[in-house]
Amino acid sequence: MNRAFTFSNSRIIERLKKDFVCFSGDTIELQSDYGGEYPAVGWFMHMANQTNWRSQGDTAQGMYVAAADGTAYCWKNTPGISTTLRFMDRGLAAFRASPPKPVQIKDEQLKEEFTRSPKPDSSVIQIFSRIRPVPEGADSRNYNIGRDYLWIYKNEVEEIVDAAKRKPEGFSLPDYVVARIARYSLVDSIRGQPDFWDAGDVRVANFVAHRMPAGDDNQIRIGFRGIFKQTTTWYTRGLEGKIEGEFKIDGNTFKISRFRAYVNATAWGASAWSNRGVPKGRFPIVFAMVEANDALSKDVPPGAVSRNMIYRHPEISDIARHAANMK
Amino acid sequence: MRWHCCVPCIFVALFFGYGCAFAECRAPGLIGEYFSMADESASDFPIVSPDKIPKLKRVDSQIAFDWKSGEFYGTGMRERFYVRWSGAIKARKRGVYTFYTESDDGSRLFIDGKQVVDNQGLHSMQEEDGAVELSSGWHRIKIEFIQYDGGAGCICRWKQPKGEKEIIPENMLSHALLEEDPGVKTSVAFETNRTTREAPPEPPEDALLDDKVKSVLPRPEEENWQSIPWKRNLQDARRESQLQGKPLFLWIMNGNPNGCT
Repeated sequence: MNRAFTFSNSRIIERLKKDFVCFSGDTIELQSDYGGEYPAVGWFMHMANQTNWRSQGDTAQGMYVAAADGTAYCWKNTPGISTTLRFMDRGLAAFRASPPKPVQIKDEQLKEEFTRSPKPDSSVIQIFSRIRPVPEGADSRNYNIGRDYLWIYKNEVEEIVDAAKRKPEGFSLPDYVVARIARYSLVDSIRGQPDFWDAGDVRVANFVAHRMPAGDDNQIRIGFRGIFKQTTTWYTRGLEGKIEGEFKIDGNTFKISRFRAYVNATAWGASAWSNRGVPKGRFPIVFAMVEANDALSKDVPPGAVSRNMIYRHPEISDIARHAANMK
Repeated sequence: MRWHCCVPCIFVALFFGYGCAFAECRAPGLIGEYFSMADESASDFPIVSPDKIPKLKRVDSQIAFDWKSGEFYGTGMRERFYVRWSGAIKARKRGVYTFYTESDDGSRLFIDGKQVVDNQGLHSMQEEDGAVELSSGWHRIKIEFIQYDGGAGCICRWKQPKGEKEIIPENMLSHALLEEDPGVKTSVAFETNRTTREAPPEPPEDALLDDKVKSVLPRPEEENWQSIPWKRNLQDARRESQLQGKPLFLWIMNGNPNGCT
């Protein structure tokens, strides 16, 4: 949030476009302490370790000005507007005062895997969330917008198509899709990094689907609605509400060509890493889900993938599973 | 005899002369003027006309208001207000002083009419800093703070030459020097980075699904950051940096910032 606010500033955008080559990355992909596994980890850690990022904890997150040869000019992890502008000035001046040595970057290096991307035949859904209305007196963080992705795998889409043909009047969405949405997509990420739900936290996840007229023989149109409830063991954090949506599947590729879902829910409690400014008591939260086809969605994984959660085959509690099967 | 008459006069003069200087130190803290703001104008530093009367005027010994929700520290004000603290600050010796404001929402700090800290905008508690070289002695200081909605807080710190970062102590602040300084412009229009703070309205219960979805999607001003050509392949970014002769700007987060910003 503040970060989006900072990087939406016109002066910062102008400077970044004019004076820098910009890169955004994930510590989990790049930081060896976090198990980063890609070839670029070596370059990144060599560069980062020239700064004093460890003075602020175990995460190398922040802004760096660096050069292709691995020289680090400066680092900062407080991205306010004027701080960032001064940071850019400082980095640029240092770069000019001490230009890097030329290095060879081979074509093979450009082809190296650098992130966990969705498989080309998977469908990617983008998720947005807001607190609405923001309770009176609540912290300004609550006006942010939450964002994440959701992957739905081809075999799951095939399963949906098969069920829609066999039982068009009503069928369950695949368990793993329901579990993935319940545990990883329906989270409060408005004020920052969310805690995902454990399998046992999902108390209810009942999503019922049906086939809708598509108007095109090659398209399969599915409507769905459902209820859900997730709470931690001691009810310190929770979310419950309703979801409604519909999507179209391309009958040839088994990819979702259009996805629209809306969630109206109530949340309470705070996540461990974003526990400042949480509204008191229960507060309203809404979600929207739409298909994503932009370049970022092909590179940037869902937060749960990034954080090494069991993403493809997540479990949910037996109670929720039982509720999901009560049709 | 004449000398005998003069000596007490010298003592009196010295006493009062010293006493006046001392009086500045004995008026610690800054004058805080608290203004209520209309909804539309409360998202940026306002132009305050000289005849506008503050809702509250008091001496604040330090600017050390931690973030809190609800009423702002005995002012009777919660949201949509603007505070102007003014007075003088003492530099014990010549040198570079760093000033910090940490606030929710925006704040800025001026020394001798020059803006030193720019912490503008609507945001949660966020610290910004700026440095200025000061001669020893008293300098005019002004701090401005706006509160739009939600909780609020404003803390001003400094770091003296070779000193530690600390909240500016009250005995280094004085409200004895208060005549208006034409060099301090309260009406300067700074570029703002304001965002609409109201969430889009709730669609009616029977609205179409598409309309409900649209009501949650980001507004254009919430997508500006995507106009920056962020590269996702680090090796590609390195090569481009070398080709263009420009440094790399790396934005690294726990979770890709382009996915969950």
